[in-house]
Amino acid sequence: MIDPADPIVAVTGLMVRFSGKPVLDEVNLSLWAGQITVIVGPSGSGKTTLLRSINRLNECFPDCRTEGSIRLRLDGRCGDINQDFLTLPELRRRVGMVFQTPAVLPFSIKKNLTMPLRVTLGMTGVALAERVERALREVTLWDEVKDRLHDAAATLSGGQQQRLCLARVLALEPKILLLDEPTASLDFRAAGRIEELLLKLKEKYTILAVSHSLSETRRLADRVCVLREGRIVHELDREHLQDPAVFHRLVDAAF
Amino acid sequence: MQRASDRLLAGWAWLSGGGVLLAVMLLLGFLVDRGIASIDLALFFGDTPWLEAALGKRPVFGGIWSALAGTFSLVVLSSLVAIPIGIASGIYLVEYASNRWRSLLGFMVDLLSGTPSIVMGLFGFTIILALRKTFLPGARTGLLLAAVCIALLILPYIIRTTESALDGIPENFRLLGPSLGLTRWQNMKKVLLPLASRGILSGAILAIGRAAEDTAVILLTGVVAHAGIPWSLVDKFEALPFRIYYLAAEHRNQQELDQGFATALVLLFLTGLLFLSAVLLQRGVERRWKTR
Repeated sequence: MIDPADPIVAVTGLMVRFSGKPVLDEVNLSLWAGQITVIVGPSGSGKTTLLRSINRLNECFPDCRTEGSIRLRLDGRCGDINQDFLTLPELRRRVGMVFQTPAVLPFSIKKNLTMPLRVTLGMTGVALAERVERALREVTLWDEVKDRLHDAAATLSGGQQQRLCLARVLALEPKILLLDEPTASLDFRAAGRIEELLLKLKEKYTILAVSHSLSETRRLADRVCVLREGRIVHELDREHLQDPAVFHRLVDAAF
Repeated sequence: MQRASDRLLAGWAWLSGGGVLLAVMLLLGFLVDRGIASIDLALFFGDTPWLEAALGKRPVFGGIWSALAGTFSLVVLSSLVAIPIGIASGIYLVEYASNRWRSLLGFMVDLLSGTPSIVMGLFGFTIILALRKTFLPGARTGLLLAAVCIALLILPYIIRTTESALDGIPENFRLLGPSLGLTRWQNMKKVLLPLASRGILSGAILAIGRAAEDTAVILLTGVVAHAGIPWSLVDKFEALPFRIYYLAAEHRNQQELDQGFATALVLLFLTGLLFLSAVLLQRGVERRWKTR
């Protein structure tokens, strides 16, 4: 029986090792719909590894060992992703990921969006065009690129490229978004647009983000998890985020 | 002190770059000076009427037409064998091989690239001898055997360039395909190979050049002086580098020696044309990748 109040993602006792070296140790974390959870922590604390555990992307690296359970609640079904709840391609479509540096392929703007749709879902024709337009509208990029969809994606600005990457993920209709410092390589204006967008998107998607900026974390997060040496050492909620001085002091103490 | 060493290094870099350019220009200038006057229909077709010779209706004696056809067939055939296998091997080494396998196979590839071409020729020759003594008494040296041996010779260039082109792809692009739900092979085909295609092309160009110029391998595997145009894979053939070697070593007069220089120019031009086709092919594929 699935309770709607259950978390969308429930991570329990997660341990990840690379070549025998522990990177995450006994991590417990829950993500709820309509919330942005932000992970902060010093470099090398395991933030990106934690993110990549949710879509099993760590498995792309040799000698990676994962233990523990990551339960997902999707379309009325519930299961552990490490126990073959979904096939890998399906899991990664439903748990979309955006990287720190905009990873636009050296293709046209349109092909950056259509390639994964064609390859993974076999979409063509009108359905494909509609899906592309909807995704571009969702990231407020449609008006900027609708007349030059065949131009190289590299001709877009950094902020536009990151929104294109977000659109590429949204076009696959995920339920959960993993964002690895999505504004780290952008100027403050472009970063501001992405932040605005994320606040809008959280109503529809469950979002787990990594951020290096405490001010951005305060603006975005509903919940903050502080990670240190592979463990979540502190969890802060909206209440703690209200007062910047208190928030900074708590995070400082956790670092 | 720092400034002086910077200047010295920059000067050395400029000098080295300029030196390479100068060496190429001198080589080309020398070949053009000695050979251009001998480039005419007679160089290609000897005394045979050119149309009938070009269509292979009459044999060419004293011209390089058959050698041109032989070298062209050899390069195309060996590339057709080596390029797909080389790219696939490079993909295997980067994407599928365990660390232990990768270092073992990498060592083998290095060993192969260090094998002298005469040894590769002897290897081909030995294969034919073995076949003749066992289940193929009629086996003989010819175009196919030479192409396979040349393919073996150029394979390491393609494997190594494919490997380094794929290795050079940054991590976020390497993870992009899987993060979008692409399978390993889909990621290779749709993301990694397009990103690495220019690097792979440089390996293919290197390999084509090496295939066109080698003499030692073909000497033992099927080249003969007056074989005519090869019409089948088991035919003996002529080749431009062999012709150049033959003219340089056994020319009877100045005119024949100049023909040797002219033949070298033709070989350079043919190799250039093959390079250009490889570049155009890659660009065509890249255009398709980028838009469709």
